[in-house]
Amino acid sequence: MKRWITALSFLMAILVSTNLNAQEGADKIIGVWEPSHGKAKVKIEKIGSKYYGKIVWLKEPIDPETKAPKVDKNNPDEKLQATPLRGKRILKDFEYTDENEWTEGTIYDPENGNTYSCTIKMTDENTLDIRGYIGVSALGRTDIWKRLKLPSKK
Amino acid sequence: MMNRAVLLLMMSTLILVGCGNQKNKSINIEVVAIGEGPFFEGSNSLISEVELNLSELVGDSELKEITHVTINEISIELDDHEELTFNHFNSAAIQLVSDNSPMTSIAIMNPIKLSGEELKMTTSEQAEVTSFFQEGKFSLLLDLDFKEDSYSELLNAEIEINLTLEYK
Repeated sequence: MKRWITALSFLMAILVSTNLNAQEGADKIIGVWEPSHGKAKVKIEKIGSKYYGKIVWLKEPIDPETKAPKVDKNNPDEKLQATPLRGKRILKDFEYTDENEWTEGTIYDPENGNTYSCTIKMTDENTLDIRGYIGVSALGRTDIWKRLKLPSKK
Repeated sequence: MMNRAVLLLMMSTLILVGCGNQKNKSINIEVVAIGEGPFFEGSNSLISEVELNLSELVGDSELKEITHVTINEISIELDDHEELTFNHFNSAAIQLVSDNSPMTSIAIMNPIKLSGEELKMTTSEQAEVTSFFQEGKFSLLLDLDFKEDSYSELLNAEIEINLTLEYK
């Protein structure tokens, strides 16, 4: 009986530790990231059990036509076109699968108002491969995002 | 010819029976979204975890299934707050999100225009929100775009949503 209890406790400890490790792995994506075009910075955060990324910085925050802060003027939903681009969530509903990969999400391109299926792969702790696609993953484009490093305090 | 007529009659009957049970009702839902400070310049989120008992809200114990939900109007009021008022924000946006439904933007106000103490949002006509109400459990996110940093510890917003439920 004692042997059974020891074995069960051991198994429970392994399961809890595996779960914690998976959680830690999933949360590695949280932070501020810069797409390759350098025109924006995107903060990835966790809401509930999924991951979302919102624009927190724009290289050119003012629309040259309106002289006002840029808004989501290409949104296919006319009623939402006044949404400010800074603060807009462009990565939505990502779930951590395994092996440094987040799937089942979408990426929104404010330049044309299109939303694409998307997978995110962390190739190292400071680099994300963001693949947007329509239908099947093979028909898509990958962009490389770099983690924003805050200057270290001396 | 006869067969086709019978088939048409049967289909029409089925459609009529199917639609016959449909009811609809407009209701108000009130939720409180909470955000913990400090808040930094830019977008900060206040969250409300919403759990609904729709039979109770509709007042129909025979409610079996929600078939469609339309959001008609959303208004927001801030709790009496010493430091923060709507004048401290550039814009406000509301999204719904749940474990099983994708995040959906439902309303926006940019720039902020007050009607009295309330903020009446512009609601999306295209947003598909039915699945949230079918689940009965979701999170509501109120994103407030702060004009400048605020070191307030807590901010509560009361959100009233008027919606029309179609149900069987």
